[in-house]
Amino acid sequence: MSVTALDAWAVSLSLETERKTRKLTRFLCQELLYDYSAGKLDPARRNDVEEFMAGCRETQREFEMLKRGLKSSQLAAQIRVSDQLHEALENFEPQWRKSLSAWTLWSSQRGWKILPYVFVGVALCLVLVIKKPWRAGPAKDFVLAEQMRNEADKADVKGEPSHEAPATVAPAANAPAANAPAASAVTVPVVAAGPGAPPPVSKPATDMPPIKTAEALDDKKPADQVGPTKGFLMRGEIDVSDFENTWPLIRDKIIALGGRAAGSVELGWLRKKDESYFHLTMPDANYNELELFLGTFGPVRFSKERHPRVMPSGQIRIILTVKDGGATNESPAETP
Amino acid sequence: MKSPLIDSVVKYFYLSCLDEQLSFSAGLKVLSELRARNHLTDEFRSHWVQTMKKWRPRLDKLKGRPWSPVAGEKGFIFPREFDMTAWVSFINSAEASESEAVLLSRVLGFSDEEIAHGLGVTTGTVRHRVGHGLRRLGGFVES
Repeated sequence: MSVTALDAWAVSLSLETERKTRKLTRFLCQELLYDYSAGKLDPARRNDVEEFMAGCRETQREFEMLKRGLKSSQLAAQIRVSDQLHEALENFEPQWRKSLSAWTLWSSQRGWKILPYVFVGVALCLVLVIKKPWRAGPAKDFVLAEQMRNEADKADVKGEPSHEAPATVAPAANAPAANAPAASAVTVPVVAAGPGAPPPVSKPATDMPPIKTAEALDDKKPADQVGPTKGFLMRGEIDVSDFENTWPLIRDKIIALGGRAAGSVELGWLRKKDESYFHLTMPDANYNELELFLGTFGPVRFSKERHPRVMPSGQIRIILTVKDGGATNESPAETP
Repeated sequence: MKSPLIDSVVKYFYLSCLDEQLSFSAGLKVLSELRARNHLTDEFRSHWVQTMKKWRPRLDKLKGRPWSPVAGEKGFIFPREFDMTAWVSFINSAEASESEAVLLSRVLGFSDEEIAHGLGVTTGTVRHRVGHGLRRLGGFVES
């Protein structure tokens, strides 16, 4: 039965109740049983229901069922909720909220104990953010060196262009070299290359603009005011007839005599196609043997030059240039 | 002092689905919603009915939640004369609207006006459903 029909029925029922003209049917009487049991009918309608029910067995049975239903529903209404269930419903909190409450309580009571760890953690984070160790540059892979030349050498360079600039090149790591007087020197950065780079090629100092050090700019002292240098180097030249085969022999002999490359280029660097360059240090005692060995290939000329860099005792610094002299039958000349 | 709202809600769902854990879960949902709307006082009883009616069809989708750490603990205390089998038969056989009307009106004590407002029907409809439901319930009760 639809709601609209029920409403119409209820309206008509009330109207009929007022008019008391409509006779009750079994359906109508059974529909009124609930109101009758609840005492919501007016006395006249109640009498009508009672009169009809007295003569209708089925309506009496329906009324009995209604009363049993009422009794059962009254018993159901007496069902009580246990205190435990009531409390569980009233004080229920989701697990995440319980955990949060527990953590809040713990932190309020003993959370101060973790403060040092928090500070340490924050400090570490700051250091990492500022330093950025994962961005460490290849600074350690570079080797810086300085080329130092005094005023006398500069004069030589002007008069006779030379490619011997690497002769005075020394790794920056060689700290003792810093003992040389800096005020009288002109510094030229020469090498800055990584380990994987090809062998550095020295540029002649004369090709580069001289860069004066800060001390030199500030002091502006004349070169002659600086004390005399005590160091020296041996500079030599030799012309050989069989250049291709000779310079490797010379290199091997130098190595055998304890010679080591002193500049930034390897021993026997082919500066030109017909010119090999040796810049080395070796024991002073072996110098004569080297000179004799060189004499077997041709006339060798050595000269002793002053140099600001002082070698350790027992060591000598040599710059030797081996040039291709062509096929000659000249006998070896003595060294001056 | 026990809250009548909590009792009404959990009894409504328990006598609808006859499952304590499920009624606990549904009760939590309804109470949470009513708390959120601040409808906990008696003046919102029709809203209680409305919210319970909304959640009743969703009982099947809810997952039962144990309400007590003690297994087997009873959440409801029944009167000695109550015939549970008759109620189970009534719930299973009666129309949902009739059983709901009986539950709300005769068991939980909501007035016809509160039920009518909560369910969106007239009070005549409510009385009709209650009368039919009670007669059907009485048919399952042994005389």
